[in-house]
Amino acid sequence: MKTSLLLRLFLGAAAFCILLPAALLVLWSAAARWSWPNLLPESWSGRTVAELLFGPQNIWPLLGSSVSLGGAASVLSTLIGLLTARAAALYDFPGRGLVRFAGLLPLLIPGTVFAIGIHLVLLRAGLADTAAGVLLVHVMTALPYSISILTDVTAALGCGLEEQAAVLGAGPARGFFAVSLPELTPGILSSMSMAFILSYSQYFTTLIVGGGRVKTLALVLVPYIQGGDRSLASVYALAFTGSALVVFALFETLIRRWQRRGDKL
Amino acid sequence: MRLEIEGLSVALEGRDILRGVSLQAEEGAFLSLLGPSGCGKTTLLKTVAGILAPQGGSIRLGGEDITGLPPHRRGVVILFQDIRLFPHMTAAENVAFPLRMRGVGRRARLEQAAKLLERVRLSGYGPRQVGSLSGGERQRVALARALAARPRLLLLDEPFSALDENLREDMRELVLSLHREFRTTTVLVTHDRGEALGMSDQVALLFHGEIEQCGTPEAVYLRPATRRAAEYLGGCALLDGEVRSGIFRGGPVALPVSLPEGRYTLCLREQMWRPAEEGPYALTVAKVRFQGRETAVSLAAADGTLFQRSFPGAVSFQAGDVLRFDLDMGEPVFFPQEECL
Repeated sequence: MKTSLLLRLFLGAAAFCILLPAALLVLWSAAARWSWPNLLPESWSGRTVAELLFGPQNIWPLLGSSVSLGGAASVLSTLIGLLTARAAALYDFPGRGLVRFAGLLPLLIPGTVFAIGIHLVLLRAGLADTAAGVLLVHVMTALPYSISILTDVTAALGCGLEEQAAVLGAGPARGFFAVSLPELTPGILSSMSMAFILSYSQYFTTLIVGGGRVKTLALVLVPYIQGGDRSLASVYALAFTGSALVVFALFETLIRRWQRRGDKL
Repeated sequence: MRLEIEGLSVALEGRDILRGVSLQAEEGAFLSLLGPSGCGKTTLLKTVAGILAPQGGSIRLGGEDITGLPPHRRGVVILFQDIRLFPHMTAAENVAFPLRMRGVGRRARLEQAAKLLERVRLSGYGPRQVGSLSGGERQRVALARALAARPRLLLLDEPFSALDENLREDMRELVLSLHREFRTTTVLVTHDRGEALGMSDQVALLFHGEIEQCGTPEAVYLRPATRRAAEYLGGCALLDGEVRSGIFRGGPVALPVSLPEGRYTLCLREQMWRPAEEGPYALTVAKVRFQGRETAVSLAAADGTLFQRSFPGAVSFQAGDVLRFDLDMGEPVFFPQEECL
């Protein structure tokens, strides 16, 4: 009884903190006039939605660039993270502890400092103001999280199943794909989600490294929020969270479907 | 296939685990590797399977040197102690896994898997998720999967230790009957003396990374090569004594022997004590412990030396009684005592 009451309290608090602001966003984005002290808007309008879908700053190219950047960053970060995690968790070599620690180093540096520093490096490398440069920086931002998640799941799984697969005739790559990968999928999924959302929500690094040429949803969203048009800011915020959720759901369905197929290959 | 291990040395994290192990198993033989935990048994299996790389020595299988081959090309299958079924596959898919690795089509391999599941008395279990199986069932699925790989050499790493006593006997029977049928050369790792002696053609004792003795179960049990081997196999009392002018004297025992003078240890099997009305040895019953099929009795000699002897069924005497025995030595086993410097 006591726990269920606590749980209800907790869920209520969570709903209050998440659903109420979300509902406010919906109301604001459809409000034409909403002045104090009215509880609800006085009049409604579809102006912001039209602006979002068809305006000069419409969402489609932004969505395209944000999602492809996030998708690429999540795949790359998870791939590199997985290789690092296997090295750190399953192999014994001098400096193994250092590798594990070094994987987390980027978290110690403040994002703004990192962005300005890496911008100089990328300027010299000719990658500043390019999508490739922005992708590289997003991957670097997401990597510590990917490495940390994947090292934990790789270490928990160990190499027992792969050893068993090997003695039953599976070469190293086949053993990994047939036996370990399906078990690692939940971890890979969380690493991809984490990397995606980190890339999707990058503002300052994208602004500095992309030099305004690489446009993302987050990049456009911030000026609107600062701009004072609450309705327009709300509709972009809704589009931002909504699209991130849709991509999440897509990731999950795709990977689940693949996982169900995995053992029948 | 005939297995020949020659001077195998393995070190893990700078510690010597195996020191020059040499061992042979004939084609189709059932060899048990017996030893206390931490003696290197599992390391030896993993090295033979190719999971660990040796620092020295060679492993030959059917005359072919496999020391440098990767595990998946050796045809050596380990049945691990922790079973290691693939959790995202059904029982049948687990058994079919080695066939899938060999490129057998899905239908053919599932058919073969079903037949093998029948052989381990799990007909109809094919579609079950491995998470829904009991410990004994999982062990049998793993056994069927190992057989599906048609191994040239089968290595069993304490496969019965995680099972209940009743299931264990069943599994032993199953393993032996499959061994008789498939004639796969098999190495069983165990620390259970009865299991090793009862199942195998050959028993190898492994202590601290070295082979102490290897031979038939009878030879190893009745004629232990060293004091350590005799102590580990149990069922005997070790009497320290001395040979002088052709007589060994140790504890209450005096025996005519043909050994050079010096200090020796006599390995006295418990069954050598034969109850006899007029026997020369009077032993006092110190403790009686009824265990069902037999009764374990501690007997004390006049000088305080304790001997263990078991009697079939229940016994009619009790602690404090004095019994008379004869000694039927057969071929007595003596170990020369090492001189302390």
